[in-house]
Amino acid sequence: MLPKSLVYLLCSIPWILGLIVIFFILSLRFPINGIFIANSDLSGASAFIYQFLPAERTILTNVSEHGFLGQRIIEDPVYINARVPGPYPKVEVEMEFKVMYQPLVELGIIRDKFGKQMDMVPWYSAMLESTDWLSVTSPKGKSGYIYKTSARDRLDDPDTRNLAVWLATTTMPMIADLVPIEKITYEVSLRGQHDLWVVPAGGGIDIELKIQDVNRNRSGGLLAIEISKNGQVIKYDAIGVSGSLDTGYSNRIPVAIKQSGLDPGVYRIRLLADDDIFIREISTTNPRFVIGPRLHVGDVVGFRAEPRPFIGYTTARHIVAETFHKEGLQEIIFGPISGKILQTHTAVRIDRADDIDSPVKVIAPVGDVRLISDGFFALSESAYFEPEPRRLKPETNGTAEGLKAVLTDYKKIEQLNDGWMRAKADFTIPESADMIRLVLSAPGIGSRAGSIDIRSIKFTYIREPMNWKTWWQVLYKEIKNAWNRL
Amino acid sequence: MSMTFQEAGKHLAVQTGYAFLFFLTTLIGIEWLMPGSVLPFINLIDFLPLAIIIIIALLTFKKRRKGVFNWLHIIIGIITSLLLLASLLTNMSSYGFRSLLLTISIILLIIVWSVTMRDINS
Repeated sequence: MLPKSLVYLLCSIPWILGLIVIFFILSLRFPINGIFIANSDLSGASAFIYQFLPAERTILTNVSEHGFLGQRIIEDPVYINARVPGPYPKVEVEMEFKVMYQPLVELGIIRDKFGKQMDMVPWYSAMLESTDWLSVTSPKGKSGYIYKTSARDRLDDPDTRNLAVWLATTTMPMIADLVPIEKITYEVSLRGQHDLWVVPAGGGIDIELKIQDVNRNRSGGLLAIEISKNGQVIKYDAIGVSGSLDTGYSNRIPVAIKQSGLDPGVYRIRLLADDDIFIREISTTNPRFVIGPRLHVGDVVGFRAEPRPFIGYTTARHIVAETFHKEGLQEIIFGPISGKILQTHTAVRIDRADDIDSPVKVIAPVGDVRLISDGFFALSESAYFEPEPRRLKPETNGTAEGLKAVLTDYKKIEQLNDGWMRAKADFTIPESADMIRLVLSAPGIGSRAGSIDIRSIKFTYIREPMNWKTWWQVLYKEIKNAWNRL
Repeated sequence: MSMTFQEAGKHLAVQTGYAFLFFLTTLIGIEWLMPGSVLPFINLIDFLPLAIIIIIALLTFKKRRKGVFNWLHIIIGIITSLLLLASLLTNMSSYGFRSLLLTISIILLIIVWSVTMRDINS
């Protein structure tokens, strides 16, 4: 015979054990120390980290065939989703990877549901990994890299020549021209959206555009104009381009962009329009203005009988040229070199590695070409200036291009065995996000038949360490959030 | 204020069964409410056949009552037995004549058990 109290005590043991297990599992999910680690070998087994997508840009690898288990990235860009294991404000992403013919990689987090807002960080640069480049902080506190023969204060020098920038914020130079010049008119045929960068003259901007809508089948094309300085918008305007009864090309409509009483600096004028809106003429009294890094020279069909060449000036080192019409097949002159566009809808890369610092001529003999560069384009040599340092690109060859410094927050990566490398980056997690999406960008990886092998990825979610009281509060908040989501 | 060893053992077994079912249901509930909270650490699916066996065992030793409660007893018994059968079938490596015979035998057993259980109502 056993006393009843002892039997009840024995019967409570399985219940206590069950509660301990539940508590233990919850403590794994909501760790008291505020650190939650999720690992994945990208085989798809992790509940917190998914695989890189889209699938057609990656290859699932296995040890017997590829020598490692993970994923191989062969096209750009790719993204990866991760489930956020609770209310964490920050995540540290660590990846073990190996690159082949891919000198530059960037990683970023998507901040909005449309995928338009991204925070990109430098992930890997073969050039900056070289011992010739030193990671320094300038006397004024700017982070970056200098070539071994340069001084640290090169990063503080506002002279944009021989300086590049890689995903770092830069303040534009405080420059101004004292007096406007006599109005110069450039006949152009620029198609769609463009960015104009202008130095104020006599404290003002005076630009007149003549625009034309070439879409016969619609009414009411629109051009939006945004003027900003250092990212702060100072004016926004929109202009209707065609009337509802138009049956052909619209007339050339003059659009005046005038501002006065401006402080010294570089002003960015964004012209937002679709590809049916053409800028046929630019007139200005500002001696210095450039366009870029994107320049789309449109065709002149229906506007002129003969194709019109485009002539510009640039200090860019790399351009990508592409045409969308057979008439646009041509040889692009880019300083001392040239590149032939032999097919439509095929991007042609033209890279120069000379030591010319001054602007070189870019000539597209028949126009009708889209140019994307690492620099800017001026319509006359005297109008050229660099509004900001050129961007570091995969093709950038530092020493051959005379580059002395790079403004960036890039940290040298850890080298592992057999060419494997380990890199880390911190991201803030958008508030109340259940899932985060990271984007891995490897510009030009497809065209150079390169690849990035990834064998492991680790997400370390970090928040303030908790005590038991705050632990219950976090648990309660999570359950409440989960309930609200139902 | 005392119990025999047999009664104590029965109580302990029943309470262990209920505790296990409670623990499993709670974890499934947490995973349903907050996906990714439980499954990455413990595979609940592995515990389901055991949970079904425990339910059947609890039903077997449950004191039977006439009327609606007996019908409820039978229905729960059939459902849990079929769930167990389904979970066993999903883990079967191959489907052949032998597995067909086994499946038919189990279904017949469930039917025989259900018919036998009806007697209390008659």
